[in-house]
Amino acid sequence: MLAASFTACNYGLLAEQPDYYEVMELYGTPYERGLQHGQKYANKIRSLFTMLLTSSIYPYLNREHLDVASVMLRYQEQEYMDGRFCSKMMTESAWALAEYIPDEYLQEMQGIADGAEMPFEEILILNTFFDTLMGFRSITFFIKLVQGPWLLTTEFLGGLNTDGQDNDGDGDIDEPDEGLADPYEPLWYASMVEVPTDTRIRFILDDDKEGVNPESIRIQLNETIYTADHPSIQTAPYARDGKTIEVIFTPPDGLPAASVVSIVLQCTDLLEIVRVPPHHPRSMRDERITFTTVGYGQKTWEVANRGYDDGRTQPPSLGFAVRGSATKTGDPMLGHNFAMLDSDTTHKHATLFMHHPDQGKAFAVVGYTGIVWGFSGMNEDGFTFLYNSSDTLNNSFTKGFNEGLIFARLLPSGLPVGMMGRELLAKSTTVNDGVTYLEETLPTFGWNFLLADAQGGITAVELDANILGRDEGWAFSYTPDTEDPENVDQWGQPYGSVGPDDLFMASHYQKNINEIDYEIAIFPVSPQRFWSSFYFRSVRAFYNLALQIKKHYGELDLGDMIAILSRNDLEDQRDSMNSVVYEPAKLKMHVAAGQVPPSDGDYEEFDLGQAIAEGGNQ
Amino acid sequence: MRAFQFTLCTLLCLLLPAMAWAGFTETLPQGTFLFDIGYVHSVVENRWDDDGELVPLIDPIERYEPGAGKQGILVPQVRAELAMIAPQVYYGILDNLLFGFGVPIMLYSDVDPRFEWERGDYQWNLGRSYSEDDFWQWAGSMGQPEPQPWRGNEGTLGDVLLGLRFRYSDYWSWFDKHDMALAMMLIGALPTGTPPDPELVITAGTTSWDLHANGEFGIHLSYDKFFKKSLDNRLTLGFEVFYEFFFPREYESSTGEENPLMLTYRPYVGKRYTIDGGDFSGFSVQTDIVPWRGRARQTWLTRSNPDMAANLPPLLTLTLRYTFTHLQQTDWQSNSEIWDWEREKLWKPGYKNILFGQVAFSLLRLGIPLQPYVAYRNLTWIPGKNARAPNVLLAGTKAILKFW
Repeated sequence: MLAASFTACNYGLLAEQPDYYEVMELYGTPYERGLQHGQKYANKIRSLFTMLLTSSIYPYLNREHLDVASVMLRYQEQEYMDGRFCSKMMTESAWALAEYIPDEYLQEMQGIADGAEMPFEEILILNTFFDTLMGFRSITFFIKLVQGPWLLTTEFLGGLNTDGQDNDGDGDIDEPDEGLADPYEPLWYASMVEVPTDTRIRFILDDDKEGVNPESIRIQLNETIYTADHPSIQTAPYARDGKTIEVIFTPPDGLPAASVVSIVLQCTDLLEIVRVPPHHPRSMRDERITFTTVGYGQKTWEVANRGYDDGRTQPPSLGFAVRGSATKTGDPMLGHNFAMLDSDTTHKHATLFMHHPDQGKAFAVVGYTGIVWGFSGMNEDGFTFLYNSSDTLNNSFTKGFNEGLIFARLLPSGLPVGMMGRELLAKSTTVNDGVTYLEETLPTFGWNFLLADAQGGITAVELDANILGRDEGWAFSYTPDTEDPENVDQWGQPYGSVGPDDLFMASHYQKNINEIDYEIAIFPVSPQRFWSSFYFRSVRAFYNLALQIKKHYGELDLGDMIAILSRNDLEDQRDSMNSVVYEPAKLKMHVAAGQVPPSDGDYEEFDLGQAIAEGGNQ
Repeated sequence: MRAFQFTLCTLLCLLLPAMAWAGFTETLPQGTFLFDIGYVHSVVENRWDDDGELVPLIDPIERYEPGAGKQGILVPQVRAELAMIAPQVYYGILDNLLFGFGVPIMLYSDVDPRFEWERGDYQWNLGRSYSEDDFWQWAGSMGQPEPQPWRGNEGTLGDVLLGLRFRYSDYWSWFDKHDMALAMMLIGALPTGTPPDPELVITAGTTSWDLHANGEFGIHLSYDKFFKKSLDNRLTLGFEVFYEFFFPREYESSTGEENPLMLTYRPYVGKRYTIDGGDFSGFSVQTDIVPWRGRARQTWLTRSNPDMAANLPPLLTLTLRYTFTHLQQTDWQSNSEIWDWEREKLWKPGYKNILFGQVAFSLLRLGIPLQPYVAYRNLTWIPGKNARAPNVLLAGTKAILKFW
């Protein structure tokens, strides 16, 4: 009893977790708003900078230094040595991007720096590192992949030339090599249809250096995994003294009839890279191929390359907008899961910043301490944006490399994506305003924007940096309106809709699918689907999202939106940063942030209209 | 990465009750010295968590690769061992007023992190998920060495302890008549201990907070019930309540110079931070049993006062004690609330259930002025909460001297 009485008292202080997600309203000029921001969150800004950049991203990217310096000689200079590479590269990139940032945002950053008593340069880096990181990462990932094994061809063996079917979807029936895909092309739809259930699949794999390691072959057939030691996998030298190999996969129990079947193929080469620890061979990206078996009855392009859960990857960022016939009330709504870089850090700094500017529209963004922008936001007119990254080599870093080659520096150009979001909120009332802005503003990298307005306008815009100066520009927009040929693919299918009042996207291009294709020196600079580690998981999440929207069509309300965003197959369980539902017509936001995954917590309502009414005059 | 710098637990407070011959209220005769030299060996591998489960000392540490999910989980199965000698001196200022002090001298502290690894997400650029070896290679490439077993604190002082016990019931004959005694004890710690090296991941400090066995200032109120006549003074029952304070102490934060991934705190924590350790409060119940008193023989020790022989301590005394210690929340104060919380959540209010047993020999009746003893203290047999669970073996001897 005595012990119980001591324990029951629990007198004194009881520590509580500080709010990892907070709301702050800012007033006045850009500098004043920045100053308020910096003063309130000085220690959170410092901790985000240190925990995310200094202790995580900088050392992580420093490991790429030797690879980069072997190609770009400038980075062999002493000033980049001794662990300074990333910090210096980020700093140089930040100042290069500052040239494109409108003065009011620089003033706001200066206010943050003054308020937090931090150097302006650190705040500038915090506000530009995302663009730098994405561009840099795409180049280094691409270099790694082109140096690793590649899938050259796939072939379905077993009478496809005589089955009376157009198996490969090219419009011809039983032409020679009907079952052959040479060269192999990653697709978002089925590679083959109506293949026999006893078919075998033949892959040709090549590696530029030491050759493909036959023992590394790993095949996932639907949900079953087979490794090289399984009798269903036969390998043999094919060319180049065995560096190129042939793999024949015979599904042990045949294939299910009238079904969609998915194969994920993976392998490594025989090289052991010791320059960048941990020591490892170079890997081929997991390539996913979907096909149907005889009796399924659909065309290649009608079958999504969704695949099965591979247990290896998480869904990337995704967003969707619904309105009218898709929703219960007819009001527009947007949902967004942003996932990228939590690293057990970012969620502790989540903040909704409500701006009451001395001039212009009031607005709110869902962002982070020390950063003037967010991954989504809404203004007083109900105009709403959200964006996801979309890996591309059509970015400003590639442009720099293209122009300078071995003497190039990793200096980006264009307006950082976060500032594009801010500008959208400052200048847009309708989605048409937003589309016009995006068409006129050169981005640094590949981004997928989803725009909505209070009147029910919804538009997706896919961006790249247009480094080759294509006539069609860098912005590719589409809506659910299938009457407009701009909104449908070559087969007349909408790019990202299951009905007339929805639009969804993930972290890959649906319209801008051949955003770049040329060679730098000996390197083929390919579209994202050939190399991006996001691609197949993004396609999977995209089609999973489509299923959910379709399932709830006509009944979608706030609860359904949240339920969809909270699904494990649509929300990264590791690196999610925030999850938000917007109601543009009601000027309401519902934000889940401050934990990973975000949907583990409540979606806290923020009433933008009320905030404007109550606080706009302060 | 969350730091898993930590400190050892041991049982310094065990020493203070040992100043008594038996019971919570015993003192020394006026003008008498008692010297005590004890060896303390403490091992800790577990702690009681917030759910009252016995878990490894350090929580698993989840590691993430920027933008590529979870690398894996580091599971430190830390084993910490501490050895020290604890010379103590007690002096009877009055027959009912005892003063004592103890000087803990560390012989060594050994801390072995014994990392285990749970694989995380598949990393496409590796072609596998990280193995433990992969992880440390990765960390090493970023300047972060794998923490190795650490030995230190050799010859290092802990906080010097001072104690004063006053048996105030002597002023009322009623208590003596009814075989009872009341006492109050004050203990205090002088800040002579050493905080852990802020730049080391695996290390241990020697301050009272680091050892977490006693507060820096404490008040104990004690009651003993004797059975002098009915049981021939072979049984003593004692009860004590106590409150022990910790005072805020400043520590220096780590810069990350030696462990950049694990200990880069200073930019946001600030150069210095404060820990205000959660105060202790609780009670003890104790019984002293005399199974073997021994014959009262005259020796050179008692030749000047033959009556004294019968009053010398018994040859063998067994002591059993149970202590409940409530722990208040420990408060970290730095420039970063996030950092503070990540430490505070491991030091929420909790409690310790401590069992203690001692076998003490007194050779005084044989003419040898020594009282060897061996004791054991256990924190793992009865569940606790938010407390480390060291088990300690203690052995030593006392020597009584009177200069007259």
